[in-house]
Amino acid sequence: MFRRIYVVVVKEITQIVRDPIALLLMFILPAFLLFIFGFAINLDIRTIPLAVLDHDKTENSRVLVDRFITSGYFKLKQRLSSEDQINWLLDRGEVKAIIKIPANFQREVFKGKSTPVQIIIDGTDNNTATVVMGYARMIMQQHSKDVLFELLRTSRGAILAGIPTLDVRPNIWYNPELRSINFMVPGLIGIIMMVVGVVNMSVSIVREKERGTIEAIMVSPLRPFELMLGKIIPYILIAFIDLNLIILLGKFVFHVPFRGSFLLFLFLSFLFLASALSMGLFISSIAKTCQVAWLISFLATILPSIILSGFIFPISNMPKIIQFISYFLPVRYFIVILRGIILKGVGLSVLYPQALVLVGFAAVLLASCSLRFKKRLA
Amino acid sequence: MSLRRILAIILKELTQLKRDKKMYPLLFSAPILQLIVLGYAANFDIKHIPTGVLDMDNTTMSRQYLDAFAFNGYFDILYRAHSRQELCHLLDTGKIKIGIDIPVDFQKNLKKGASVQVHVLVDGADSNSATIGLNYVSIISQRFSSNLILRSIDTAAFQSNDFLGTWRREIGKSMLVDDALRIWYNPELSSKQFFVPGVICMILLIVTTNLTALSLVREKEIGTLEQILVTPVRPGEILLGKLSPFIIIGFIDVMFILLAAMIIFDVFIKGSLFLLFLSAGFFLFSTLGLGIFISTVSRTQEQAMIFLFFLVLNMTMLCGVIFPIENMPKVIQWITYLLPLRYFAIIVRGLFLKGVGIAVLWDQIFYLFLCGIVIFTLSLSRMKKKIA
Repeated sequence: MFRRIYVVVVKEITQIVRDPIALLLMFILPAFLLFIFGFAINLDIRTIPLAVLDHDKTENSRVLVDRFITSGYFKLKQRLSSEDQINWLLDRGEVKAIIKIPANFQREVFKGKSTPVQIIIDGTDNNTATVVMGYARMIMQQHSKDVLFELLRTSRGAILAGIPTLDVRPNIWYNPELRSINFMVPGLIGIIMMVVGVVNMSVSIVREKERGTIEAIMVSPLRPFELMLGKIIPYILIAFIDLNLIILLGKFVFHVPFRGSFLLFLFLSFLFLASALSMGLFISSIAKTCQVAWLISFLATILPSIILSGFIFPISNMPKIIQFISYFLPVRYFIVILRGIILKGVGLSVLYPQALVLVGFAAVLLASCSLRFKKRLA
Repeated sequence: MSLRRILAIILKELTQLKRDKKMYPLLFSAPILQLIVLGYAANFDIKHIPTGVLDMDNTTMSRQYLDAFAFNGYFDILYRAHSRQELCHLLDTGKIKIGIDIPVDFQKNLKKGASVQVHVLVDGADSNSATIGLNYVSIISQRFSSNLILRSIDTAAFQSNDFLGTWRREIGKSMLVDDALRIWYNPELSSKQFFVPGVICMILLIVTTNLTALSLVREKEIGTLEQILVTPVRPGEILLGKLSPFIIIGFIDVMFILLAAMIIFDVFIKGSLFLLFLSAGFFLFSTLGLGIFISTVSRTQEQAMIFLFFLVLNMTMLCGVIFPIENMPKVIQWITYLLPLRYFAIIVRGLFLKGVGIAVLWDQIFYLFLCGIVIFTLSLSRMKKKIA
């Protein structure tokens, strides 16, 4: 039996090595995805292009504008001289935010009157706008408080024994520099396991179906179970090579730390891989042509895994129905595990609920898959 | 050029498409799926951040401070820890994303007019959410701080008519320097407003490049391309006949998404419909050209699928359809100038969200047109060489 499985494994590997496309998919695609998500796509919103329309031109208004520029989040693109320019700049998308300081700003503030400073934000990209809004409000409140302190100190210093202040000391864990690449790399491992397990697995079987070679294998003394194992094993190997490739590239090219236990990481990845491969097998039993296999695996597994799994977009913001759907994606749990091990360095004592869910998924998917396979082949 | 011969090829192509059942999901369910997934799920806005608190002070003032967090909708105080270790454990297990640690003597020190430090533990793994969360913490704390000062000044001081007197009357309303935020184009900051135009771009790209490349490669693979070539139909006519059904399908898809956006998502186009179709037409030059190009470099349909996958992934990730281009490294930003999808996305968003016209968009439309012509002629000449 082991010899027969071994023969299938060798055949499969020979086939993969001879097929440049398969190699491309298995080794170039992961590196490519790492490059896109690690290098090109940056979620950290910095250097927001900003324009200023300062009708006041006093010290106070200059300090406020300086605060925006020195915060590191905004980049001054243009100083405006009239209102007419606002429309044009925002319509063209040349700036994302405009500060409009009214005339008499300083005088009114020093009189103690609450004075509005208008900040116009381009809401086209709602996500960027949310972040810009947060920064702008933070800077304004800081300014407001500081001006107030200054006024109190100079005008009524005698009344106050001291000015009570509340300092927020942020203590950022796991990713102190808040780099988005650290957030992306663990998630990316989940996505790539998905691609290898689902796409490559299903296409490899469907290709045999398409070419009619699967019948040739079936009339050989090989049992269905042995065929399945023989087909799966090479993909497990490839997935593990990819896994290490990403961890290494992440560590040495993008300086992503690995804090937890590597052994646990391998073990849980294996569990996840079992689910992914079963999904791939399942798709292969539905699809008749490679194209359809591609399409199903892309629309039904890859796309939801990227968008709905918490890989980029936080699940807690999604509508309840979509959150509910996300519970059925094994990759959702796997990404929590990956971030736990890689960034937080926590172990099984923390991650056991997710690990148990993965065991459940693997068991159910493998079982239903082998049932379906037996029926199809019989 | 004979119209009859072109028509014959178009008919043949349409019949083939009708027989190919698996193409329907690609044509009609993929747009809807993408609209739903991106329109509802792709959202960075952070609300209901799971929060834990450790209130070592447990006084009126510390509770007031925490109430400010509980009532603004951004933080859900889920856990009350009793020790620093417990708070850390909650963060480790991922049950909370932010932990607020209020020290002993919080109230006493603030009343004395001293400065107090509140430690905020943040799970930085998700850098984006952490940044947004920290901003909110800071905003709430600044507000609390300002109110404290108000309270710490004895009431007698407010009788006066100078600075403090005026300010006292104003403070209930707002801060001294008030942030009057105005959000243009998408005031509710809804992600469907942002993604519906994006999906139009993506679908047009995916459908037309896929159909063109696969249909050309299929003929090559089966060997029917040679058969057609030996008929009296000229190469130009074949191409025109093959491409026009895809152009029609592309436009039908655009109209389909426009309708779906209006009916399901309540998203309406503000600008001119004519400009949308005009630029879609220009964009089709690029996508059909890319389809032709892929068909010349791939031998089998499977190869073509993989090239298409890389192309689509690249274009959608880098061209500002999902992720803003401004955040990308400079090198990548330069590359995006070569990609037609960049211009098309700007145009479609401009038309949908901003309602701007040709006066604002003329250069983008011009670049899109230029990209289309260049890509189309290059691919065409490459194909001619291959066939000849």
